[in-house]
Amino acid sequence: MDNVAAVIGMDPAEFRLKNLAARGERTRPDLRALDMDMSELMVRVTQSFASESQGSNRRSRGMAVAATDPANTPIANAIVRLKIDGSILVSVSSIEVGQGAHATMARIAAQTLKQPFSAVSTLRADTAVAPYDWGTGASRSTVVVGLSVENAALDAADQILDMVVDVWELPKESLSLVEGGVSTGSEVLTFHQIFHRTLGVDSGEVVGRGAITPRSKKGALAESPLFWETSAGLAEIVVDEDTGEIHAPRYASAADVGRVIDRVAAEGQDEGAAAMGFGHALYEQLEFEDGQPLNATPIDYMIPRISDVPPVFDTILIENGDGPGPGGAKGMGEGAILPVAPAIANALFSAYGVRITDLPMTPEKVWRALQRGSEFMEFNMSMMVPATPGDLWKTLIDVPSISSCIPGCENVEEIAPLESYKAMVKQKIGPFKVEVPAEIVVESVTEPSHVRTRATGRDKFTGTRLAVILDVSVIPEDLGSKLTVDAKVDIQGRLASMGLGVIKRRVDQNFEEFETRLKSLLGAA
Amino acid sequence: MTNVQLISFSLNGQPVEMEIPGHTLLIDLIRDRIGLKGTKRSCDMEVCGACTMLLDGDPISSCTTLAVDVDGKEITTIEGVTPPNGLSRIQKAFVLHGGLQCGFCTPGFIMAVTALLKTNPHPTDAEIRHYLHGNLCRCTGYTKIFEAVKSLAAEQVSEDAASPAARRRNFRLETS
Amino acid sequence: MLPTPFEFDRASTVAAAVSAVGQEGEGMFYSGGTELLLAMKMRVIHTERLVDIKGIPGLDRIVLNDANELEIGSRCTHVKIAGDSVIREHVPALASLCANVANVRVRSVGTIGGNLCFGEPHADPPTMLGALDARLVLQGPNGTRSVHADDFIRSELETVREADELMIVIVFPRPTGPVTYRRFKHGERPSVNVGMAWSMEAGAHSIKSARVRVGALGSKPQPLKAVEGVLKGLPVHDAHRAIQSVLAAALDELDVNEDRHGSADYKRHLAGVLLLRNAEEAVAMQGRAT
Ligand SMILES: Cc1cc2nc3c(=O)[nH]c(=O)nc-3n(C[C@H](O)[C@H](O)[C@H](O)COP(=O)(O)OP(=O)(O)OC[C@H]3O[C@@H](n4cnc5c(N)ncnc54)[C@H](O)[C@@H]3O)c2cc1C
Ligand code: FES
Ligand code: FES
Repeated sequence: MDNVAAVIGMDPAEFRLKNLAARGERTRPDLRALDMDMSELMVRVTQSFASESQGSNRRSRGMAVAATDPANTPIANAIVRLKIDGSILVSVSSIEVGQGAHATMARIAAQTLKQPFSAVSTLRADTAVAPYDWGTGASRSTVVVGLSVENAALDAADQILDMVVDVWELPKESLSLVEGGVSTGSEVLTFHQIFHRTLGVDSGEVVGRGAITPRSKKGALAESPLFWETSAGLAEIVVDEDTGEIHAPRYASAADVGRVIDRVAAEGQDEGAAAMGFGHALYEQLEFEDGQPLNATPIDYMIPRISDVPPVFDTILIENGDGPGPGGAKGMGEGAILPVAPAIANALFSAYGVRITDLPMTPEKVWRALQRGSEFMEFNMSMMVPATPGDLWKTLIDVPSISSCIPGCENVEEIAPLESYKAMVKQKIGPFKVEVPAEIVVESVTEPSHVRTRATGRDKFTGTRLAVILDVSVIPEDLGSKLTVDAKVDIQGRLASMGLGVIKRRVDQNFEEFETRLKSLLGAA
Repeated sequence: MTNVQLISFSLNGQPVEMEIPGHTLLIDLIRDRIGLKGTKRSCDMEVCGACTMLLDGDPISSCTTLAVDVDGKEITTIEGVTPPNGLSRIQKAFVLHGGLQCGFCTPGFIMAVTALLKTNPHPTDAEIRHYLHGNLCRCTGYTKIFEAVKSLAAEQVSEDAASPAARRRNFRLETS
Repeated sequence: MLPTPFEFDRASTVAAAVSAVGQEGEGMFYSGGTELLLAMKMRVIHTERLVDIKGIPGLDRIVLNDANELEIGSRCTHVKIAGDSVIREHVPALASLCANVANVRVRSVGTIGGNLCFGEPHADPPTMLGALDARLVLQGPNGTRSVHADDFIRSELETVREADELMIVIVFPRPTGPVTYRRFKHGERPSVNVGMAWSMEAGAHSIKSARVRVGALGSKPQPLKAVEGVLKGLPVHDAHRAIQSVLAAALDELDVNEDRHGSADYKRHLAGVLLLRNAEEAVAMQGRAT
């Protein structure tokens, strides 16, 4: 995306906003229409950085948005048992591996039955006793198993209310669950009272059963995916230009989760996923030689440490209540891994114009890419001049007059003739003013056919670094000479990160202007 | 081969004396022979910190420590820093801030943080990261672990006030 | 994994340790065990007898001796060196090196002697001690000898130490100029490290002599002779430029293994980066000192 945006000179965020598939659109005919706004995610991560202006010219930012089609197979069963003492047992086959599935099921049961969270236990999954579920994975448990728990809890609620209807002879509409029992409108009957009067003993429970099948909710769950899992990431990076090492002082991650059931746990899922993203973006790769892993020990295989994850980490959970799960929840926890690597790669591209496409972005790879320099911003021109190569050469090495052809170039100062010069280059790019005191070194001269100069400098205001390598050749032709100019322009730093496209356009304009002025100076054809 | 060693040490404040083969690893002694299973073994190569115990207060990798090394010393495991009914303030902070998911790294983190706060009750952000650099967690992404430790670092430790020295100080204040 | 069984012996004097290791059958000194046990668990090292040297008194002292030399006992742990007031005062760069080796657990039991004797090429202390002009004192059945830090490591995991020679102490002259150390790592251990120590002329404006060691590139730390040469007698503020003028040629001389830590040209380049950063720091330190 950023590559395309750079080529057409558009801000990468703007480019995305113009082209993103909107809510309700389909990306593939056999997949569910998009149930979220990716633009909302982008706006939210951008806002989270908004309070902080870009810190220094060594920091750059990159963004990425991603959507994946996780959950399918809407098949699950749950049992919810409500006991005489008000305690609730949830039995599902979801496996708890730290993702918080059991606590989430307990919360769903507690919320549906209007009982405190502490009253609910989720039984350790044992498929010999827990009801069938298709499997724990694909971000599906909160939605699919969660819905079956909700149904089971509603079933249990129904049974307990029916007891009150039966024994107290009250209309069901007048009854509601409250903490510890059922409210009749005029009084609260405790669960103990209800079981005692109904069963005639001081014990008992109701067993609610809930099932989800592809036919549930009038078939609304049958289409794949159950929901879209989306995430946006905005990374701020600092590159050690000498070693190629990338540090990320700041990261913002936004995910559309529909509804948050347990905030700390949900944030933790996204942060963990993003850390995995940092892992594959910067460190992790299993290497093989002759079929043998070379780095199969934790000494050689590096995963992120506490000192490697961004110290400022904003986790944004978007809640529109529009998911298929309980209370409008969607599944989550996978999405945040997706945008990390592209966001970092985009940040690198925006500051340095280098694009790394194979992960991890190790220091050596980054260093090599920086060495090669940015691949674009090359400018070539050639023109016919009705002058002998010797005369043309004289004009070219007359530094004051040739520099008058360069837009914004002032105060040219000769340090050593045909060796080194100083100049001030002033430019206005959009709202930005740039003033670069440039040092110009003549790197090689082959009289009267070729000269290579290198100009380097750092902008006084933004610290933006500028390097121009200019190859000028004079080739004898029948009717005079041909002049060719090949320029390689490298801009690194704050200005570059604001959008290389804009700068590229300006550089192009400047070269056009240079060409025009040179032609009039030489009276070229 | 005269490989059996008699060792005596203090385990979580309790004296222990036993005979062990000289090549027994500390983690195996504690988990398998003594039966305290709170300490976890993960990498088995001193990298991850899951197996962290305190040897005379200093953190060590019990996966790569010989049990004979604790002879005459004090060993503290996760069980030793967990109050009989409930959780320590460090453990509570981890729960409150969501500093654990699967929990496999957690005993190691709790031990490391215990050692950190003992020597440096109010570590800076950089000190927290430096100290915990050798404890790996694959689940949380560390952000919540860091928040948990930071909250502890910011706390005016009430146990400070309850320490014997502080009690003496207070006593003097009251009586003077 | 479990190490294969061995006999465990505790020595309470150097002589006893030396003779216990030298007995029939293969014995090894056991210090912090952070390298040794790891290797034994991986079953790449087998030994019939481990001789624990932790009980030998006096091996973990750090002092500035009467000859104005620093002595660091071989049993000093990284934590101890990092926190030691004498080291922090006279060689802060060594204190911070030790504060950053490995992780807090390895630092609390792993020793500097164990680090050196293991001869691991991706280690920090050997490079620094080479730059500090250290000598390592070994005691064996036939008395003691000193080996210069530069000559101690023979190649990967091999040193000139005989199996029954115990390293007692590390001695180096108290630095009289800036000492700097930097490493680059993208993994558990350093890919490249550079240690540099200057001694100063009277008046402290010029460098009397400089020692520069680059480590982790080949099998052992290597001197950068050209850089040392060009720095000799130079005013401090010319150091950076002088290094730059000979750097490319000096780096070319280095023996570099290509490995998972990087390819040869990259590692050479990194060595140059670290060296120049060390030089900048040294200049700044010297500026503050004068
Ligand atoms: C996860 C990990 C990360 C690490 N990272 C780094 C790092 O970043 N930089 C770095 O420099 N190092 C690193 N190390 C190495 C660490 O510094 C060493 O493990 C430690 O210093 C070794 O000391 P020890 O006392 O445990 O040695 P031991 O394991 O006890 O001994 C090592 C070897 O030296 C011999 N020996 C020990 N003491 C003596 C003595 N006094 N005289 C003669 N022989 C002796 C032993 O017989 C054995 O062969 C790392 C280690 C690990 C496990
Ligand atoms: S199991 Fe001991 S450090 Fe990982
Ligand atoms: S909580 Fe799972 S490894 Fe840390």
